[in-house]
Amino acid sequence: MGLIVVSHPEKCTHCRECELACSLHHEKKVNPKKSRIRVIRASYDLSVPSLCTHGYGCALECVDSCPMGAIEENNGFVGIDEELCDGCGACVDVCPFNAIRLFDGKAKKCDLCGGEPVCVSLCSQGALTFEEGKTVDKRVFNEIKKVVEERREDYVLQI
Amino acid sequence: MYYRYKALIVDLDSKEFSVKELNKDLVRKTLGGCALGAALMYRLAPKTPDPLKENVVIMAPGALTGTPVPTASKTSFFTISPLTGGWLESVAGGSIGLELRSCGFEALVIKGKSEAPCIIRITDQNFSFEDSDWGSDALDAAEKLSKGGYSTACIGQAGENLVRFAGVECDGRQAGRGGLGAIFGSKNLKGIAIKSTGDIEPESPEVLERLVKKWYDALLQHSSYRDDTKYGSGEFLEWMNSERGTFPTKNWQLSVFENRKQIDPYYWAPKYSVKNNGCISCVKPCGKMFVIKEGKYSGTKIDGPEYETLYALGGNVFNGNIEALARANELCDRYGIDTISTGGTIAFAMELYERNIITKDDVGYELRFGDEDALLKTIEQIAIREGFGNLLAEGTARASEHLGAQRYAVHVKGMDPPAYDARGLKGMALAYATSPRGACHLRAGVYGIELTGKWWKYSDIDRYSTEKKGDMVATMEDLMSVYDTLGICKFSRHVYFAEGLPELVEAVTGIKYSVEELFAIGANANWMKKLINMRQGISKDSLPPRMFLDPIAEGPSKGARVTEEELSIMLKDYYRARGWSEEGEPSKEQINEVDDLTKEVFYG
Repeated sequence: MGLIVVSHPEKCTHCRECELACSLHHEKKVNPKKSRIRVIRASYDLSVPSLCTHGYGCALECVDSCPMGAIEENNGFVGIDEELCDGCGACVDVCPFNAIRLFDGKAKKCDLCGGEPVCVSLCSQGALTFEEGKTVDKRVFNEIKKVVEERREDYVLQI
Repeated sequence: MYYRYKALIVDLDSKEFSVKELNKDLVRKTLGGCALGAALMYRLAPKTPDPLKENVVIMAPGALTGTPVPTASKTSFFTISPLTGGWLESVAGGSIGLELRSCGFEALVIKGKSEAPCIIRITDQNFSFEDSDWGSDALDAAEKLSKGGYSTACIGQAGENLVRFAGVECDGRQAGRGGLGAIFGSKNLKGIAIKSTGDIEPESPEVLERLVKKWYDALLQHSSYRDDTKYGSGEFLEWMNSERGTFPTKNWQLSVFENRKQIDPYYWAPKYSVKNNGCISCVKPCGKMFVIKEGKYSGTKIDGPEYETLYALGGNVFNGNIEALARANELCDRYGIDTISTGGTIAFAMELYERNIITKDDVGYELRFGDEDALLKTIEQIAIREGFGNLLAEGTARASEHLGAQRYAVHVKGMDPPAYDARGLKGMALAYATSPRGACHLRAGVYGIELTGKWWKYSDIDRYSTEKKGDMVATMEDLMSVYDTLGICKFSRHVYFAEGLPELVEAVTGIKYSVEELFAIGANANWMKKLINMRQGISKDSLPPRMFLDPIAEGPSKGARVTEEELSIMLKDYYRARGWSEEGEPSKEQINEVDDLTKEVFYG
């Protein structure tokens, strides 16, 4: 355990195939706004894919914020129990990666597609890799968090 | 349900939006993009003597655009061109098509003219007009408009100034050709911004997911992948010069560019390109993010230059300085003008200058081939319509008539040609002549077949021969129209060909079409484009004098030209292949079929 999808913004070409495929895989529909991964255009030549790091680049703010105890971290995997989730959205607001969507009354985030992430399998430039979370340099996460904070308004799903 | 069978109609006169239900049968028989656009234009576009006064703009995403089908990223705009006076389709990557489809529309139709500069903003089912300023460049306008997560299509100063080859900026790519930007300007429309939270619902999501991976693998495993992405669309520039001698140079006076060293991507990509840029769903990104960090042109940042621009703002104006070329490209993107026609028009003026047909008194400064300062200055003068630029902003054809210099004007139907010297590629000569929007490489896309001699079902094709070319151009025009109907990028046509398309159409739309049936949709679209041109009084398929009179001067294709007789033979073959009369008119049966198809485009 402990494998996560790691984003490498310097390689991302902003094609957003990951967003399209993620939503197709999870929702059986295409909708980038419901995708568990979002590609944030930070500047002319910097696009930043952001998704759940399963606790490696953050303080598990989502777990702490959930009044229902619906979010749990287990061996480097953060999961949401949809039975318990009441859709309050507290986790959405505190996630430093803006990696949690709220729709159909439930919070949704990256579940690593059961161990074979679709986004990684369709990233032609190697901007997404499936790696041990603990080996990733913290600075990588910090850079992503910075961009997410600056551009959050443009990427929050409001339905 | 994938199709929502709805179009959003925007009336700029009354400032009203209305949602209309599209004829289901029409949508299912045209699918989207080019074929749907042709049908809507056939019925909705006015017969207009002045496209800048009375016109309509239609936007339609490709049928697969908005899904993860690899490279299905294209959205088409349709209007009557202010450059050619006839049919215009202008195609771009970017994500605005995805957003429109997510809103639940197959098409956006814009009519009338706003009293003052405005923006159309669409947020799901909320539609509004906003006041806009005139004067900002296309990239700044796009940045401002996109705030809040919107996809955009907008114009720069050139569109505002009704430059007849102004384009529309679409999320970093351009619907560049034919003057769509001037039509936006003529309607006082600065831009369109669309954002949606809606779902797009492919009919067979599981099948689609499997096919996406299949075609992703096919694209990445193809032998061309590495160089297509590493060097972008200009990868064959050296070969086009040294091996084929079909790289138009100096306003087509030459076909090999001797100063090409720097403009070859093998030189500039490693030096200036910081990364690639992809259109939406493109797993094979060809756009090069080009940055100049020091020197005279420090601060220049573009997505490009593409192959056609390396010709238009390089060889054709005899500019071998890649940094000046990139700066010229950036000016075109910012002002919002088509690089191909900008280069073509300036190259034409440079030739006239060197022939003393125009002088420094006319221009205000020296306008010689290879003078990068003059090139950059002239781009600005065109975009703001100042001085001599005001004449050039009318385009090569009108400027040549004004100056009585038609002999040196290289255009077809008013459209400046791209970077394939058709004198050494007879099928391309025919394709330039028949292309409904004027000289274009992507309406038929036969250059690759002729340059290499084989592709898809074609083999042993002699580029100097007229044989088989009529049939080939008709077939390829239909195939390329299918690509534009589906929204798939033609830069991946060597992977999908025609045979890969039906399974994708079925998984997404639920409609089962054979390859032959898809070709019929493409053919039908081409009949409509032709009929729209005839309605506009544009029926002659011909070539510029230079292609008939001036043989290629040097290099591997030395001596090649197209004779009027050769063109006439090829046209005859082409019209026959299309089932058209010897004058190139669609048959009664075809007209009936089209009339029947478009009888009722909306319900109610």
